[in-house]
This record gives sequence, C-alpha cells and structure tokens, in this order.
Amino acid sequence: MSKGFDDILKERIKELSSYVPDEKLWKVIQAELDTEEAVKNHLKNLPMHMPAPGTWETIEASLEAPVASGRPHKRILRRLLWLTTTAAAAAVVLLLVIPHLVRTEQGITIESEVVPGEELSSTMTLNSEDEDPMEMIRSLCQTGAPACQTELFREKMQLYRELDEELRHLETVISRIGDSPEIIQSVIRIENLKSGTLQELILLIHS
Amino acid sequence: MKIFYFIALCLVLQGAGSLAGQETLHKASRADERSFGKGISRITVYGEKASVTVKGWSGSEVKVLLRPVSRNRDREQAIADLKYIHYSAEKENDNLVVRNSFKGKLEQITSNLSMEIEIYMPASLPAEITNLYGPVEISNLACATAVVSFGSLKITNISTECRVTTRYSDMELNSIRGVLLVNGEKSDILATDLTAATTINCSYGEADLGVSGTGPFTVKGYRTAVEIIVKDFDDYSYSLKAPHGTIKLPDGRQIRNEPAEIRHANAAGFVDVTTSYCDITVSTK
Repeated sequence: MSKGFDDILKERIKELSSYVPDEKLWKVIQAELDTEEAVKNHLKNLPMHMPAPGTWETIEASLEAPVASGRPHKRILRRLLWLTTTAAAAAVVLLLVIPHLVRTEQGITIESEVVPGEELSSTMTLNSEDEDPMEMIRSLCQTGAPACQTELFREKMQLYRELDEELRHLETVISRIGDSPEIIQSVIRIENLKSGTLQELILLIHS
Repeated sequence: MKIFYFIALCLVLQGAGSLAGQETLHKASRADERSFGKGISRITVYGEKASVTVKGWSGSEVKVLLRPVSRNRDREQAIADLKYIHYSAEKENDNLVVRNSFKGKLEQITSNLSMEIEIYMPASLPAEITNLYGPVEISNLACATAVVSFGSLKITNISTECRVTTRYSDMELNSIRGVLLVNGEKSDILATDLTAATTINCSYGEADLGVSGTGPFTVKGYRTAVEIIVKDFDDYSYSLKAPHGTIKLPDGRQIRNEPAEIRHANAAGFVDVTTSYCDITVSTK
C-alpha cells in the first residue's frame, strides 16, 4: 500500500538534477587567479610619492576659513550638494545592478512556480488529538459489548493498529526528508482506511 | 435405505453443531412514550450511544419514544443493567430537551447498553441533535442542526436550513433546500438532489455531491476527493482548484496542477471546489 522509507529515499535521489560545469569555466577561474597573483607581485614594485611640506596645513586652512566667519563658503556648499547627489545616485544604481551582477550558478535556469498551498477552512478544526478513537473503542468495549469478543472485531482492531503504525511511520519519513505528493497521497489512503475501519468497529459494537 | 439414515444423521449432527456454535443474547428494553402539546418552539437532543430518529409530521404535538436497551448473555443481568441507562425528555422554557447518558462504574456494567430515541414533531419547528457513537436520521423538517461523532447521519428533505458537523461519521444528504452548511472531519459525504446554497468544509474521505439547483455550491476540501454530479455540464460555471491532484471533466479533459475556471454563458449556478492532493471530478448523470 505505501512505500518504505528506503524506496522513497531512492526515488527522491533519482529525481535530483545533475550539473556538470562547462570546460570554459575552469579557464575563466584560472585567468582570475593569475590576475590576482600578478597584482600581488607588482604591488611591491609600485613607486612611493610623498606630498610637499605644508600641503596638509594649506588644505586645513582652506577648510577652516569659512566656518570661522560663521557662514560656509558657497563653493563648499555646492561641492557638498554635488557629492551628496552623486553618492545617492551611485547607491541607487548599485542597488539596481547588484542582483544582475551576482550570479551563483551559470547555465542554470531558475523558474518560479506558484503552487497554491493547502487550505484548511477556518471553520474546520482537526481536533483528532482531543480524543483518541482507540481509547473510545476500549471504553465502549468495557461495557460488555459482546461484539468486542468476536474474531471479526479483533481482526478489525488489528487492522486499525497496523494502519495507525503505518501512518506514524509516514509521519516520521515526512519529518526526516519532507513530504511529496506521493507520500501525502499515502497518508490520505491510510487515514481513509483508518476512518472506515473505525466506523466498522462502532457498527459492530452497536450490532 | 441405510444411506437415508446416514444423511439424516449427518444433518442432525450438523444442525446440533451449528446450534452449539451459537450463543444466545438477551435483549432487554423498556418503552417510554411521551407527548407534548403547545408551547414548544424547538427540540434539542443530546444522545450518547443512541440511535436517534427525528421525523417532521403534520401534527401539532411532539411525540417522543424512548427505549433503553440492554443486551447480555445472561437474561437477568440484561434486565438489571437497564438501570444504568438514564434518560429524560423535559421542557426547558420553550425548548424540549431529550437526553440520555450511562451512569455507573464501567466495571459494574456487563451488558451492552444503548438507547433508541424516536421523535415525531411539527415540521416547522427547528431540531438540534447531538449524538456520540450512534446513527442519526432526520427527515421532513424546515430546519435541522446535527452534530455527530463516531456514528452516521442521514438527512432527508430539509426545506430551509441545515447545519451539519460530523467526525468519523459518514453522511447521506437527500433533497436539501435553502441553506446547507457542512463541517465534516474524516467523514464521507453523499448528497443527492442538492439545491441549497451549500458550503461544505471537509477533511479526508470522499464527497459525492449530486447538485440540481442554482446553489451556489462551495466545497473547501482538505485532502478530500470530490465528485460533482450535474445533469448538464453547461448548467453551471465552475471554479476548480486541486493542487497536487487532477481535475477531471465530463468531456474527458484532465487538468493537473493548475486551476480550472470554466464559464458558461447560460449557467444557472456556480460550483466552487477546492481540495488538495486529491482529484476533483465533474460528471454528468
């Protein structure tokens, strides 16, 4: 009726897609590595330049002069405005471009499919946990129902227990590897069989 | 001649053998009939392990038949255990309340106890029936509410409003008009001649709905296989959603993993069905 854990696992593994990268990819990676190595080698050969004495003092003096008078210089204001506008524009451009630049996979097409999830009506409550049907059956059998002693009743009870066990096994599988339509459909079949068996047991008790 | 004696002896032995295999079960019951005149505007039943039958009639009075039943291999014990069955039919203001319960320690009770409740009432009065572990039958009423767990439910000919809540209880609904609201958990639903504005919320099981009116018919199924049976496919427009299931249409089309919105220009009604991991089938009579 339902597949074992190993069978389901094997099937799911077979369903996984395989990916072999293009040979060009290795060449591209090697070229990038070579460039990095070359930059490292040339860094130590770069010439050193020192600013002329008094340069920093000159810059400092030109910055402090307008503030001291209590009004910032118009040229500095314009420069600040220009810098702020440029920075904002750069940030916007970066935000728009980053998603296109960052590609984790090459040659893989990713499509999004919207599959509606399961909806359980707000008026429905699955309160199966509230009352254990098995406990209820045992309780009914305590009141001397002769049907509880019959072979047919025992067989149905055994069937119910086996179905319950199978259902728990599937729940374990779902918690370990997640669900799939096939597993859920097995759950549905077992739930329906359980429900039918339970109602047959009640009928036998009433007979 | 000897052969005939031999055959007769075999038959006698066979008969004796089968008689020996049987056991005698004694059924003790007591009948209690009560009538209630005017001043009742609704009926409420709280049953436990009861067979409840409620029928609407043209009479103006309410007739209640109560029958506690005790079954046991021991005749005297069957009679003695009747005392554990408690029942009542009393007026609470304008409400007639019928209830039964079992009192006593479980280990003391050796008989199989149950209750039969039969009510005949004016068809215009509303009835509200709750039953645990037993069958319920309701017919010919304007308005009915049923809450059934671990039993079964059969409702026939409701003219105005019908509300149903079931758990582990298969149901059969025939000729329901007006408004129908069903909340069914792990219960099969079989409906015929359904003309009411219908809302069905269900989980697991199967729902086979024979629709014949304008509806609208809404089914919100959680892992429930749904079949809609119509006289003519063009009589209705449809909105059908069955994620991880298949939508099967009368012309043989099968739609998988996508909703089906079907509009017919001259549709008289609307059918809106959602379920998951199960199929939706639309078929014609």
